[in-house]
Amino acid sequence: MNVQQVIFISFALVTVFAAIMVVSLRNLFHAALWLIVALLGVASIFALLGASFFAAVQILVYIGAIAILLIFAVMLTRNIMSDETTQTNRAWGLAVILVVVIFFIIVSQISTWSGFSQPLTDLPLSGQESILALGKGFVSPNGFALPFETASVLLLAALLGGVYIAMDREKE
Amino acid sequence: MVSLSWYLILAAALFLIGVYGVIVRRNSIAILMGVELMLNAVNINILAFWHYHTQLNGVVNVSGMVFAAIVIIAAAAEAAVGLALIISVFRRKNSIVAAEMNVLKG
Amino acid sequence: MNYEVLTWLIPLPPLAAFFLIVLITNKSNKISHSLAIFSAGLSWLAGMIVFIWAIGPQGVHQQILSSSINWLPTAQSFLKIGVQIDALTAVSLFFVAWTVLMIFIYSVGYHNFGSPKGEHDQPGLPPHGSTELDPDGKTIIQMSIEPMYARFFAFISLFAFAMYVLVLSNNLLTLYIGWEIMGLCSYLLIGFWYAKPSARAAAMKAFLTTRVGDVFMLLGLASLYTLTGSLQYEVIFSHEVLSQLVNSLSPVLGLSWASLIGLLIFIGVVGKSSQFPLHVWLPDAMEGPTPVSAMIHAATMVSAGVYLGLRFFPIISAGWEGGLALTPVMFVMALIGSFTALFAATIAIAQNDIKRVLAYSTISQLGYMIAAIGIGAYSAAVFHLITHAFFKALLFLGSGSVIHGMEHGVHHSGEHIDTQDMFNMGGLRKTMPRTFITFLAGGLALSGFPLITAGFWSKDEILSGAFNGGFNLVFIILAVSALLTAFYTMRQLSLVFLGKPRSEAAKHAHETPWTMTLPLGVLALFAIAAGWAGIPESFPLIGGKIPNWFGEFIGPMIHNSEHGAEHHSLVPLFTSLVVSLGGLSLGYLVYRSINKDERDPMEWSLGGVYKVLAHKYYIDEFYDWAFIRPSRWIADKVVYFWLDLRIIDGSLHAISNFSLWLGTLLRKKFDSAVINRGGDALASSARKAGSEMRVMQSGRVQDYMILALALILVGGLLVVLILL
Repeated sequence: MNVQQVIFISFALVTVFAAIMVVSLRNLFHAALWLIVALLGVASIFALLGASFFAAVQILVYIGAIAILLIFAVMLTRNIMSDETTQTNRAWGLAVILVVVIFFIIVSQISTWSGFSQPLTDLPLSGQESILALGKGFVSPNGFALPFETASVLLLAALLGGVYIAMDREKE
Repeated sequence: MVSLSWYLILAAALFLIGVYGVIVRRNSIAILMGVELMLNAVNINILAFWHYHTQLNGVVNVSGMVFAAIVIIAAAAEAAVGLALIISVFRRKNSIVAAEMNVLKG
Repeated sequence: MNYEVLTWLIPLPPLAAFFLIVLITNKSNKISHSLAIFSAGLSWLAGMIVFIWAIGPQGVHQQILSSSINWLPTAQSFLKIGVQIDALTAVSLFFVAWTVLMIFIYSVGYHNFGSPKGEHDQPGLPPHGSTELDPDGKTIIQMSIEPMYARFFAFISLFAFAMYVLVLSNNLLTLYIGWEIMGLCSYLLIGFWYAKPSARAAAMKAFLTTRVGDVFMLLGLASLYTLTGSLQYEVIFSHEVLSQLVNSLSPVLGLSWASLIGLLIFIGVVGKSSQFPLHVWLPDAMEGPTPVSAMIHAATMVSAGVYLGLRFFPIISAGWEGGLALTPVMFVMALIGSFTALFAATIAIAQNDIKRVLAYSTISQLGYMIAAIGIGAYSAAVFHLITHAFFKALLFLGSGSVIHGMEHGVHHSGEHIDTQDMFNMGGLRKTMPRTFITFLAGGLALSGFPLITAGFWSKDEILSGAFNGGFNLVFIILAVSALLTAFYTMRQLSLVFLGKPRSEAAKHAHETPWTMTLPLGVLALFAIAAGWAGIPESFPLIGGKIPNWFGEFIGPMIHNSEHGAEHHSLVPLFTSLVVSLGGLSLGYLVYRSINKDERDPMEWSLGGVYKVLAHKYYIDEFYDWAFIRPSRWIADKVVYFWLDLRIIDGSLHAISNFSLWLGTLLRKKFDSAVINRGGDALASSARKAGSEMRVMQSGRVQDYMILALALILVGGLLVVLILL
């Protein structure tokens, strides 16, 4: 067991624990904070994978924007949920069973693939190379310019949509 | 060496925890958190395979990165709109319990 | 001048008049009668032109004019219609054209054209008269116009068309067409006053009785067509066909086909020309207006039967070599003809109605003609046909004039008497002179008054033919009938015109207008003069001075030259003089001064026989018992009750009941139970299933998701298990 594996396992355990906390806690604010932890864990996994750009993006976008947004929403709807009523609905037992079963199925099935056990070594790239390639890919017409532009349209739509939907009509 | 399998198993576990959260939680915002977990698991999966392919082929695999980027973009958009919806529904019904959003009951 | 085209055109004006009157002009009396008379006039003109041509040197002596057109296609050939002019047609055309035109003109006056409409007159009943105020303020009743005036002219135009068609035809089919249309017109015209029950009954009787004859005639026509393949005269009367018909045996009674066909056709003649035993319709046909009686039942329709007999003479006489060995058909004709002549004459002497006497007289004279054909006296029969048409039409029209005069008198005096009963008349020679003179001419012609009347010449021909041919029995019977004819004619003349008026109405009768007396005058001229065209050469003194134009013209009609009259003795001449003068004087003596309320001398002199004669030998009663009542019974009991009500209606009701039962059964057992309940069950089970499955639709997204997940898992497991 070398260093990389130890680092990986610890980060993985943190992430999984944080995820479990997210889905279990009654107090939503706490759940949101645990979500942030989980996202951080995921960012670290990204970094381990050599996708450092994405680690940064994860922190910026997910934690800096999405998680904050979630916290806002929690705050805005806070008074309603009392802490005594159950947080889970009545199907939780079945869900647990299902989830576990599916987990085992997934793992057993993907382990039949030959490349499953391929050890991942460090990439012979510098960090800049991949980002450059990504940047070029985003804007070249032979590459992924179209999805990029479409994604920006999607964001515009989401922006407008979000504003419109959440607008307070009575105050017009 | 961390093999690919470890990342995949991690991604699977995270995904299924997210699924559990979506199915089980009563609060709509908690459901959205579950959805975020699922999207992140997917991202891990994508980037794991990106690394795998780049490692195998020796050349940077752009499409994997683009895919992951798009997923993040989509997640952001969806979280924004979803929360806007929840706020709007909260304004009308004064509740965000998912089980109470059953106007389409047949 | 294209005589062929002209001949085709002769029947058409009256047909056109019929259609025009029926469809267009039937509201206007004046236009209708003008149209009818104009068309009759056109046919008369065309007929006269053709006649004059035919008797001339370029006429039918040389060549018979015959032309046909193809009409109905049969498998191998066509049924044709066509016209023909030969000697018989020419002379028939002559008398038909004249009598038809005269009767049309007469009808204008008879139906009181120009008189006002009667207040109580209705269509279907004879006119009653209209009341008016005369200048003094008294109410007087006048003759009123016939309500169905235009209809009458339409019908007689159609009839004229049919008669022309029959006379002009060159084949049996066209003749039969004309024959049947005449039968129809006879029915329509006898029943002209259709609101009278007696008229309706008479019309039916006429139609049905002649129908009996027509059925047999059709059988004869059909067998002729089957045997020879044609109905054209020139084919069926040719030598080859005749000898074939004579020599082939029919399956009936060992007769040759010629005899059988001749007999069948003769039965048609018996029906149409009202011979015994089918004579019963003619006296009752007097229910129709008098012009109808004159035209149809004296001059033309009944003559059509004799015409047919004359046409058929080649077949009737096929195989006859002259002399007493008559063919079976001729024998039957002579028998029935002479019997009818005597039979009808005996009935006539006991009749009191002026028209009935004339009806029986017609039957008797037709019997003469048929007997003449039967003994082979062809041209005598034709001659008598023509002269009879003229003087009988004259007599009928005269009787109509008398009846009109009597009606004037009835309106004047207000009596309610039968205007047709001769015993209510008397002394009319003073008040109706023109009618008297013309009626006298006709009556003398009918009696065979010597020399100056046409009837003498034609009757004498027949009696000569009978005597000289050796048919003594026929001769005696015909002579006795001639005696009786003269007697009842004089009876009629005396009762009507001579003596003193026996009723108020007769005193106040007055002469009828010129539209009625002019035709009487024209016909009287013919009644006198027509006989002089046929004076036989063997006549003492004047014979031979005027050529026997008629005999020479008609003679060549029969292929073998006339086999009769080899000897020319004077016995028949004497006999006819004796019987006619004797009968006339006897009648005069008995009837010249019958007073009012005096009974007929015949009654007490003949006793019981008179009663039998007056009741026409009770033949009508016999037919009623033997034929009419059984038919009625069969119609009522068998056909109506059993067949119609029980069987036909019964089976219909049975079918409908069965259908109803079946329908109800199906409804209850299948429709309601299975289908309705099935449908309902389907619907309710769907609803139940729906409401049970509805539970799944909670509206909660999470429930859907977990359900989806679970199902995917299960499905996937299944797939995996199945595939592996």
